[in-house]
Amino acid sequence: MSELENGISRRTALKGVGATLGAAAFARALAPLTEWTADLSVDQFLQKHYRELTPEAMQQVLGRLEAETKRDYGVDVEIEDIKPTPGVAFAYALNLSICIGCRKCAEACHKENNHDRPSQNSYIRVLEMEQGSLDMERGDTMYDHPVPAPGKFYMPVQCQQCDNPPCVHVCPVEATWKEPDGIVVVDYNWCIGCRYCEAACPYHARRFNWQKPEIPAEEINPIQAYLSNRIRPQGVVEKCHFCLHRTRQGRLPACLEACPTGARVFGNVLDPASEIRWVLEHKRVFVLKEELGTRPRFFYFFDE
Amino acid sequence: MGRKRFVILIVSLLGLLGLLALAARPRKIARDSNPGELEPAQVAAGEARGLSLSERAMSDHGGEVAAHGAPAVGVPADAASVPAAMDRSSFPTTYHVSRDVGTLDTGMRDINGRHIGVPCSTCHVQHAEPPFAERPDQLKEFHTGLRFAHGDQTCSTCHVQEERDKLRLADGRRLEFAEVMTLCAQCHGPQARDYRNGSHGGMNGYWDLKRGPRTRNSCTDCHNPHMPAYPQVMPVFQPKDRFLESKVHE
Repeated sequence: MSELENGISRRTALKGVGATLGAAAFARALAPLTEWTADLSVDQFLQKHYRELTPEAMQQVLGRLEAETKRDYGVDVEIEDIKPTPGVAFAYALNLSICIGCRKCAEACHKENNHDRPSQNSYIRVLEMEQGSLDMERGDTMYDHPVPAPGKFYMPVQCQQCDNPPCVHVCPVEATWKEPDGIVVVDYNWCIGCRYCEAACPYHARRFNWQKPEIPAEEINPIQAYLSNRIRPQGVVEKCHFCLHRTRQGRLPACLEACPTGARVFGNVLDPASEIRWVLEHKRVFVLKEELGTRPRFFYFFDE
Repeated sequence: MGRKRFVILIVSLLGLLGLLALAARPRKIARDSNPGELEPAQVAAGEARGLSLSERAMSDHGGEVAAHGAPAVGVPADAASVPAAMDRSSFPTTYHVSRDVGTLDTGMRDINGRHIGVPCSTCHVQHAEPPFAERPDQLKEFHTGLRFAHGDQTCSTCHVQEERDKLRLADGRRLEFAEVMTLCAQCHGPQARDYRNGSHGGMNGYWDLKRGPRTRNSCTDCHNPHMPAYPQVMPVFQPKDRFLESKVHE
């Protein structure tokens, strides 16, 4: 009766609805392709998450990344995938009585980790603080006068490598996670650049690559690792990784070596004879924003 | 009517399915069962750090003192022991001693750009020297520009008139300039203790001595012994911050 009222049968209408839905779903499924740009290779597009890569696949990825660095920056670099060492868990401590605020650590980080030169990026911010206060909101990073200034102390802040990391919890694609040695890392090729982690971090420790990093060829540090200082792509988040390309090989982080006053102490917290353990056991250490429950692996202390 | 409802049901089911398929796109990665939590602190043997003056040796290119284990800060030269905790380290820790310690700066540099200093005994050879100055402001002819801000010390607190190329411990014993850390540690105990345990003075190289060596500063690398307070410096690497540059936070 009603089938021919408008000249379209119900069957035809349903077919139309089904076809529209199907086409829409298909288009949505292919939507990531619309973000395809000239510098995105098929291999890169199809690359799996860091923790799903087989060793062979990882070698291919590293080779590709090295070739891309050569193509884009004209430098031969060696990118490794360095795994955590069993029995090693890192911790860092910083003596606020000794730190003079010279910012050499921030500079060393900038050079070591192939940061974008125009933006002067670094994983470390040094806060100039009023003596008697630990209010980070009142810390000034832009100070430009001889240091240490009277009445001030200086507090370098970088990733605290929390054991309960808010940045990891909020990541919608699990592009950032905590490694067994305590370092919170980012798979720069999996990050979608949503910057949730940057917003979640109470220590302002994450940085976003607004642009493709610009670094003169002669300044590029050629010793690189997949999870640390390889040159990051545009549009991804990065952070301090305790220089894992150095520290997982037994070396000290670049910021510690640059410190002219010896304010920084780094080591394996599982080793009872390590320097970091001595500090944790003999100094009155504290962590930043303890009340948030982030459980940092970065400790601060004053001399008595 | 029944058919209409059936059709609506089918269409909404299709839509739901589509939504579900979209939602499932970001794949989940299996989490580590235990992402390396901090172990509860164990009772440590950290206090007992080695000190072995006897193991020290001047390297022949001058200016570096190498020793296994930990530095000999604040401990007389005859006390030497290496606790078991340090035995497993296979690479040495080198204690840097700058070449200008115990010399007078000539202002010249050798072909490698290194300091050329004159040992004190080059000039201080006369046996009939005038009496030892008590304070630098008593110096009328030589070392007149020496600025001094180190408490109530006198020259003879650390220097010896009879042996100009040696230092003097509080108990009168002589000490090589290269061992200056022992001298400083007589008064600066907490700093010496922190240094001995790796939390003062800075270092370079390896945190893991099983995998590589380490270099450490000595006191006089950072502190001028006559004016030991760390001097003010201009900070480097002025940051560029998109937000803070405009000082919107104030």
